[in-house]
Amino acid sequence: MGVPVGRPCFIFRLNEYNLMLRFILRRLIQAIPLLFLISLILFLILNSVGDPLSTMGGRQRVSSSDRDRLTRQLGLDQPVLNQYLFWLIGNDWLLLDTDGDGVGDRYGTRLGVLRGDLGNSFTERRPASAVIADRFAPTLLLMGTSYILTLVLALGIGVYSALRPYTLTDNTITALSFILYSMPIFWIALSLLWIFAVTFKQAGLPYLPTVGMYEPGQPVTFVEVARHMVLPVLSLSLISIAGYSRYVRSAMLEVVNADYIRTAYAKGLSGRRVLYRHALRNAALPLVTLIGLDIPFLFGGAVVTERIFAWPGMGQLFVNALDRADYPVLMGLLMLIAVLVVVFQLLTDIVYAFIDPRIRLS
Amino acid sequence: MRMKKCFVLVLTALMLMSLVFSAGAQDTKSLSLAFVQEIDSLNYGLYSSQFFSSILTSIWNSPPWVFDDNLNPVPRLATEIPSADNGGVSADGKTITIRLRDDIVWSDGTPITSADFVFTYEMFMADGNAVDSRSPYDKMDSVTAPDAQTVVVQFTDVYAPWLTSIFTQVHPQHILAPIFEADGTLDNADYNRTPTVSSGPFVVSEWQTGNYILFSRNEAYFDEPAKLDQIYVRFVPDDAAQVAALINGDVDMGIFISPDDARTLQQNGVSVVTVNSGYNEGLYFNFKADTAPTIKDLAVRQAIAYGLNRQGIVEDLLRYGDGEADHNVVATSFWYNTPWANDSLELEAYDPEIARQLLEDAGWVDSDGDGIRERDGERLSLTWATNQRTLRTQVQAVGQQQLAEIGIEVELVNLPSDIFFGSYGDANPVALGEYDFWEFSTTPGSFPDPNHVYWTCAEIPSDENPSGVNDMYLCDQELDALFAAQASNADPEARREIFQQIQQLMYDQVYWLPMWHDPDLYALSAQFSDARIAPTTQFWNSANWDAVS
Repeated sequence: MGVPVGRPCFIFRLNEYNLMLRFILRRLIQAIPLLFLISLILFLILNSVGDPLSTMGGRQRVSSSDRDRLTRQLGLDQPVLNQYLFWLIGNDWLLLDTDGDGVGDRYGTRLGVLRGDLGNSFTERRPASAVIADRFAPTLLLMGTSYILTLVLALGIGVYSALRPYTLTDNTITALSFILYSMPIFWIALSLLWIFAVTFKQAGLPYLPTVGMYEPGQPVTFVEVARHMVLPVLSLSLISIAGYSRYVRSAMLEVVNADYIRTAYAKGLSGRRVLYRHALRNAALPLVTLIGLDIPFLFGGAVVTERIFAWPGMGQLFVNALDRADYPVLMGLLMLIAVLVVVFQLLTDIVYAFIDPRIRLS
Repeated sequence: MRMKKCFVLVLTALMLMSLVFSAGAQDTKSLSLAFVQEIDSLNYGLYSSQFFSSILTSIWNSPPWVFDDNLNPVPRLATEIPSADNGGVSADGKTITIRLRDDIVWSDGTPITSADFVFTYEMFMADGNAVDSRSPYDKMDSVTAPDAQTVVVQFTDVYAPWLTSIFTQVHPQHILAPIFEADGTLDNADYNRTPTVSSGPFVVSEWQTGNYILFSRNEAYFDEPAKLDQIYVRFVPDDAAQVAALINGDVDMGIFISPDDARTLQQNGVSVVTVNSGYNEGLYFNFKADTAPTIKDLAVRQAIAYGLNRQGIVEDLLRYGDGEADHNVVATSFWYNTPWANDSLELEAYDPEIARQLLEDAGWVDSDGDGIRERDGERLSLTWATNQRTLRTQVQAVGQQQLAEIGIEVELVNLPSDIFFGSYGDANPVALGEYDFWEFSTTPGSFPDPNHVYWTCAEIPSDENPSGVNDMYLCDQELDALFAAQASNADPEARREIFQQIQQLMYDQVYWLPMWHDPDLYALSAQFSDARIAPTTQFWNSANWDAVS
């Protein structure tokens, strides 16, 4: 099943192509019942942990009559499995009792997730999909930037470390990695905020902004957003680089001592070619698994970092929605991540097939 | 060479961007407010009950009257405050007549008339609208408009707190009626988050989700135009980040400042002002029939009153400045520091000896020498619940130690807020009577009106009344009658007298134990000028706010 010598590994024969398509299709079909099960479990858990009406009185308790009415109007009086069914397939086929006389008087308006309607946020009173969509770009910008920075630096540091194992440099990097990795993110974020924003300003040095994605009232320019991104990206990356560089280092260490690397050297290949074409490529395999696992969670945002730097991302949205038991938004967010996990697992497997000729999908 | 070209190109691009940056700085007068919570809707009352939404109301939506920083009502859309003397309140107290100015307009130039008031009432009561609260509109028979400048509100019974609760926002019929007619609901109207017209000194220009809301001066405002061009409300959820932003001058106002942060801010040139919004922190006791027999003993509650060093707690944990006035004070009643307070009540001074004696006299003695008292085989062990707010957990820890010194064992419980403030119907453990006493801060429901229903018999939760708010399960017939009497009495002086009796009774029976007066702390940058923050309509003078350089 190996790739014939002299032919690039990514060119499949037709039957391999078919195999790949069948594999993707099979995995997608397998994912459907899995996602249903995940959605049901999440719905049941969310419904049992919070009360969306508990914060609807603001600083006052919700009155009895308002609670009764809202419970009915928001559909929370229905048994939980009915609520799940409405979330799934909508309730536009059902007469609902909105005036409380026990008789259905108005058809529901929800279409259900299967028809692309995540329901309305209980708090913002607008489609949960719109609430989530508003946060998508800022999260992607923050998390994507920090992730790319993490990968690039971790790869560099990890490889550099692995090629000089147990030297003073390697040991220093190892020590630093462990220190950074064991620091809580809120501490790193707040320290950076106080040093580079507050203390620098007070000392008359060039300083960075404290909060937000850009300054309100100022034109939103690349420089403006970039200035606001420095501290949150740095907070996120410092910890991740520390962790990732350890993976890269150990993966590289394993590979550089392998027989085929010695063979490559023996064949007279240059050190650079051996490193990049043979060593790194093989060392990248466990990293691909890790990236495949991590990427879906990037879309969930960074709860602590976004909160501290007032970054308008998914992490903040998730916490806000959780605080107020806003199920439609919470379900939307969690299901988005669930779908992405399935998709990225599939993509990881496909990428594996591309970069590792030993793996085929039959 | 190629690298060099690339470098020059990037540098040029950066310089151009910097130019855009500096050229964009406009000569506008603006102030930024930091909110630790992003609001859900600007449509306070119909679709939001959040404090932060309520305080923004005076910026963009004018009610018939606002309350100034001394709690005096100041007419805004109305020509005068309705009263019995000017014929605005009927002899039986059930009919309120509001007379409107004839020069009031929405920001698009459309006159504001009584039809907008009738429409607002109808929207609260429409079955199609899942509004946050119908109170007090559900207590009205009708709202009518005999002419364009007259609004007649007919209550079913006398509703004493009308002045502080009716028409806190008025909505534009000409904008919203077509939406309601088309959709059968206003639940999803864009107006709720970005109102297209305003009746306040500012209009809503933009809401960048997660970032900020921008208010710009309402050029068609019917009163003196606002001094500021713009107000930004920035969402800064983290307390420490809010403090950093205030110190750096990135925001000009912070709200709900903790005493700890107030200290830091004052040291960095940010001023802190105290606003009494009627809140008092206190302990609520469990009187449920089939649980917690211990706490129902008056002597135990009195012993807690004497055994907790409330003055010390306030001075140690709630001090924020160097001066005498720079810390909170211990309250003496639920209506402390309001015009309705019973000022004859004296705080039970911290005295562990009296506390021990009270317990001894009631038969609570430490018979097995473990430091905790018993009576008839029952151990004097109590549970103290609250949410997870840091200050409260600190107070709990101190209180637990102090009560142990008088022989009361206390187990501490900390619940997430959405569970702690839940209801019987949601199996909230507080409402189910699982704890002996619990702590939180609140205000009379329609503050500055004193009306409150927490301790009324009708509000005791049950399977039949799962939303009842009397989690204490207290049903004292005398107290109940007093609460009912004040709620249906339109004479302020008579109500004040009834409230004196209510407070005396609650004090004598220790039905509620005040912990501290809980005003809101606001931080203001040196740039902020003329911020006369009021207790209820906080930003009532936002038209006068100014930014000084």
